Amino acid sequence: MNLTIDRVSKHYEGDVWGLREFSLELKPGVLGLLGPNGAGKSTLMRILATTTKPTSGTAIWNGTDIRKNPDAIREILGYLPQDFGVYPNLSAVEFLQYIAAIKGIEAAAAKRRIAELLAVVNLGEARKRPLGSYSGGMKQRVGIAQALLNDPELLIVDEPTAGLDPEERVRFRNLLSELAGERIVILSTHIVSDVEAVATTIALIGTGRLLTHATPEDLLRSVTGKVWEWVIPSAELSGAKHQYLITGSVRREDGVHVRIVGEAKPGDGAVHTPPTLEDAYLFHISADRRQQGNGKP
Amino acid sequence: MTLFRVIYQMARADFLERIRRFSFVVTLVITVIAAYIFVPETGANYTTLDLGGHRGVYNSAWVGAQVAMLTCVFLTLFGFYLVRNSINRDRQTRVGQIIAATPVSKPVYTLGKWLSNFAVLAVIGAIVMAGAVALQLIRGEDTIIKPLYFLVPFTTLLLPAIGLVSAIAIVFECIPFLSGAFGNIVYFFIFPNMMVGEMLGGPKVLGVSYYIESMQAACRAAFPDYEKVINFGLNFHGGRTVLPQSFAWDGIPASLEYLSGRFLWLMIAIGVAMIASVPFNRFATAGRKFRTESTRPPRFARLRRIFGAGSAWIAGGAGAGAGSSVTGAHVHLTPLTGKRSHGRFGGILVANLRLALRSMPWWWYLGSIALIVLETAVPMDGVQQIVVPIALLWPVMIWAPLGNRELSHATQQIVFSAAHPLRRQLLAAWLTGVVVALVLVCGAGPRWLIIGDPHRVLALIVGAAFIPSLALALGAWSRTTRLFEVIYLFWWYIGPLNALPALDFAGSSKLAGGLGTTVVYMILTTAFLALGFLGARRQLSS
Repeated sequence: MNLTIDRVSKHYEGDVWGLREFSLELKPGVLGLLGPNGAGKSTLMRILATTTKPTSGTAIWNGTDIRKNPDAIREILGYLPQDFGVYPNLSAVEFLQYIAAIKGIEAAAAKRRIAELLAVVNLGEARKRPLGSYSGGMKQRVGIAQALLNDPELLIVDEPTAGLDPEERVRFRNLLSELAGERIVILSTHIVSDVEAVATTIALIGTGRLLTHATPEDLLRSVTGKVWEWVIPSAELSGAKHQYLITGSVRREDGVHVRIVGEAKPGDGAVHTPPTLEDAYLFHISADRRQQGNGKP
Repeated sequence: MTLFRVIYQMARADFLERIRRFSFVVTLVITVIAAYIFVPETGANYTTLDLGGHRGVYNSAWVGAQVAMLTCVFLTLFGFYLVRNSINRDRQTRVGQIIAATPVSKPVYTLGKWLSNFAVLAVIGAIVMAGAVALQLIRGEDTIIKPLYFLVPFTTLLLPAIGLVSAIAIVFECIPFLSGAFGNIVYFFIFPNMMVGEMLGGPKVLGVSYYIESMQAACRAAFPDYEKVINFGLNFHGGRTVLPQSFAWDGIPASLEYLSGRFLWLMIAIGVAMIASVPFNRFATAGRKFRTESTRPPRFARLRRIFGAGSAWIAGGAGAGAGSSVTGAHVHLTPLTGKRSHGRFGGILVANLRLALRSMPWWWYLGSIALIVLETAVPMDGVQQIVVPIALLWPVMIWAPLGNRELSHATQQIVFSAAHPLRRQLLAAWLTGVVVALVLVCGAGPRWLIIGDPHRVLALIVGAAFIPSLALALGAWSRTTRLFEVIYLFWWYIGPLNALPALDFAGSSKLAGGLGTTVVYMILTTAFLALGFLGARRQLSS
């Protein structure tokens, strides 16, 4: 099982690029795709889900070019778009029956699968209610269920935890971890904690380009020795924000405890502290912004 | 002042959103073409305003009045369909949710939307007026341009009329059962009543009768044998060249009575737009009616026991929410190996039928059954003239969304990422339309077979395939249901209902064309189907 993304670019109008020469090779496991808003995550997701065509480059699924033969990937794809609608007059069961039919799932198998999935996403009791009466979080769970209907080999979920409450969010992470055995899962988000919990590898994307692709451990190692905790007076916080990359701050009796990511020690009294993925993410994104000429430290 | 600013800004945003769409450019092109047709050249084989073989000299007064009157009728009918989605657009773009959370009142909102509708139609009217000036010069019977003769009829006739249409469109959008295809049909039958009512001495809603009376008087003065004959609208005199005798007409005086009468209708329009705020639900979803759910207890007690009590997605239970540990969690999902049935097209067709029929209200099913029963029971003349034509209109709400259902419900990302979206899903959607059409005429078909008229059965089958093809093509390319609803409504009205053989696509009327017409509709069906597939492919690749 292999997905190769080969120099994929997506050009919009004028000088706007969604993706530029994006390449990545994926094996079974959960890939956390992290990047700020507008970095190109959803564009990449849509290209892989074959709902958008790349301007150049392609993706190869088990040796098949999905640009030339999109149905090759559609057969084994589960896709949860970032923004999607439902048919308001159908119930969850009817909507999933419809999706199951267009995904080519046998009626009996679909029936069992739908019952299981609705139980898994905790919509068993609401299964016969019209989707038009569902809350945003419930619709999102219907979206998750439809993505899993065909037991996909490639599962693409774009901002899946949007609209879910904290409890549901943790459960969804657990679900993803369970599912990520013999399949490729691409989890696109800008919520670092979601990725931290389940990803086996992480791809950082900024301004349409791949910044880095590494394991969480390697990503953490890339900022080891660069994360500092420094106590400064409140009055100096504003100046420090302009000077350093601050990833967190807490006000205490002795001053503001700021968390700084940088190569050099920010000042006297600053001490090393173990890095988190959020530190690593902000470090790489900030470096990319600096390179593009529109970033702070 | 703030109130007017709110109304202005609301109208401005909506107006700009509309005129920046490509469809508005297409509308303007059609408008210019229409304006050109409104003033036939001498020797043309049609007339648009014919007083028993007479017409006025093409001076500013006549051209201005003639084009203003025709535009008035044109925009009163088509303008309604053009502007009747301003509130729905806010609902679909979800901007309505933002507006609903602001302090703006319902009357201010509906007034803002009315003003936007009014502005869109006024822009169209202004372009036609400019075209009318050019046409006077092109026709060349009188090349002296008198601007007031254009301005007066266009402002006094057109503005109140489009004001009223804009308001009616808002009312229809605010009343749930009139906000869809059914409302389009209802307005289609309201419009002729407004027109005919005025001609018969009723309320001068459109105001064209002021001008017609004056023109008739001038005609009678020039041609004493003239009787009150008038042909207003597009009239093809059997393909013959028309050479009307002309007379001089210098317009009507803008009397206080005339101006106040027209101004009154503009005020009524504003009042109607404000009254529309009463049924307007301010984008509330809680009160919207969806099919009611079954209250039976859940059948998944066993599964719920497996997955734990309450709300757990997984066996981790509620406690799983407290931390980020994934250990100990398990999910029971039966693998689907070998359970895919790529060859089973029937499943997709059934799913599409269910999807289409689920959204229909109970009275639609009742009406469908009644129509089928009537087709078997009513004398054949009645079946041909009334029952079958109604049956060919009854499922319009099922056919209309065929070409853009995924876009309008924002499900395209999910549906189009499934395998073979064109070959399987689109074909299934089209067949859904065909099946529904065939079921609705299944009472009439066998009767024609029994009386030995198999050609009509063939024509009926072709017609059943033609309608969804037209819906698919127009929906896929226009990305709206309205274009199909309007075009089909006119096609149906002139063809099956009024028995014009060339437009009777289902060959159901007495005077229906022969096998040749059926063959033409077979070709059209194929062409529209191909167009629909191309349009859907365009949606897929965009």
